[in-house]
Amino acid sequence: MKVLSDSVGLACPWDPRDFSATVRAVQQAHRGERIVEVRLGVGPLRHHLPARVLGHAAIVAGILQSDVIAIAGPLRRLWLFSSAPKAGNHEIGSAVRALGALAGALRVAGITSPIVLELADAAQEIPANLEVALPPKLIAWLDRAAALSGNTAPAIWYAREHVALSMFADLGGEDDLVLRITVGSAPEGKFWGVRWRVRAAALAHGLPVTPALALILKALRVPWYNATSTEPELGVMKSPTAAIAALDRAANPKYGGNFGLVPEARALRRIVNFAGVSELVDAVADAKSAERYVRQSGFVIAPRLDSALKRLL
Amino acid sequence: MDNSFGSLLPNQSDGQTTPLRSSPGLSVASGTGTGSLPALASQTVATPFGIFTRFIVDEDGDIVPADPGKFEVAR
Repeated sequence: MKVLSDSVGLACPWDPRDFSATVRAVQQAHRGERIVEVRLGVGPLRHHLPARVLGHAAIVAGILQSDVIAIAGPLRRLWLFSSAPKAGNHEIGSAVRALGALAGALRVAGITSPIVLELADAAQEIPANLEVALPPKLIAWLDRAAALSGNTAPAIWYAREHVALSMFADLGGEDDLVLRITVGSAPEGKFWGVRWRVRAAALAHGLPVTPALALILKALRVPWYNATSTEPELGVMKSPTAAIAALDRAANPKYGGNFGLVPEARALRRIVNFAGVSELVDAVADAKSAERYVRQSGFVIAPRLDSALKRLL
Repeated sequence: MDNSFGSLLPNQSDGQTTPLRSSPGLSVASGTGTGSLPALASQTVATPFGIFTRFIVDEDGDIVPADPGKFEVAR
């Protein structure tokens, strides 16, 4: 058996019925009987679009090319969604810049799998009658995370909606022969604490649940889209040396920075001179150019994003 | 200092030790969570998913050293 990277924590459904179904699904994926889809969530941009997205993509690309294949076999598609509408943020221009930046950065980092881009549905998708008891400690974390991120959606409602079809798609499509794998930073692990409970409640109500696992990048403490106020913007990458120095400083507590940014700051050095970085920086500089970029770069634009982009024009 | 989400995660840079849970028949090295990792663990644990792992995400969403007993309970 292979060993997962030291940098990841394996998240699995803790409900016994869900757990067993996911074990079977992993075996089916290895036999080619289930396709493997990785989902990455992108929250609303805070402050600005940071250069750190490149370092984040370099780290995620490594996980996709090693751990995902080891645990489930070849990746069929990568699904990136913006949770901004679900979080109460309806700035489509900002969402498409963030999605384009991450998708483009993954291409720069060498990911060649099909990439789907979509927006989460702002409406409630999870039935209100799914009763889920959350531990007080987790509720307290969700409340604090919502306050820090600036999300306007109620914290627990937003967390429950993570299992929705337009987000991580835990619920929906029993006949949909997919094994879904979430790859995310450490806070995504906390949302997994909610997701497995909602999944269990859904199963208890006889609702279909898609087998899923998550690989949580435990050293990535600050979601890349939650830029700190001192981080360099992606536009600074036009001068890579300055961008690296600025991100190093933003990651250094000695200068009032956040130590949690260090892994992505280091990874930024690996990717900074890759072909396509400069073009990507220009492509997502504003909403209009980002719209053109995502449409012309071979990404699959899913229906909700497609409609929103048409309204943006 | 802008901690953002980072301040919400346990045992990251506060110098606290995360106790490791040993399992019969497995060698477990001690470690302290003084670096960027939640804890240090030397044991790899076989999972029912056909892969070994050193860390898992527990029921509450915390990243902890893997414990083979967790998988037996879930089965």
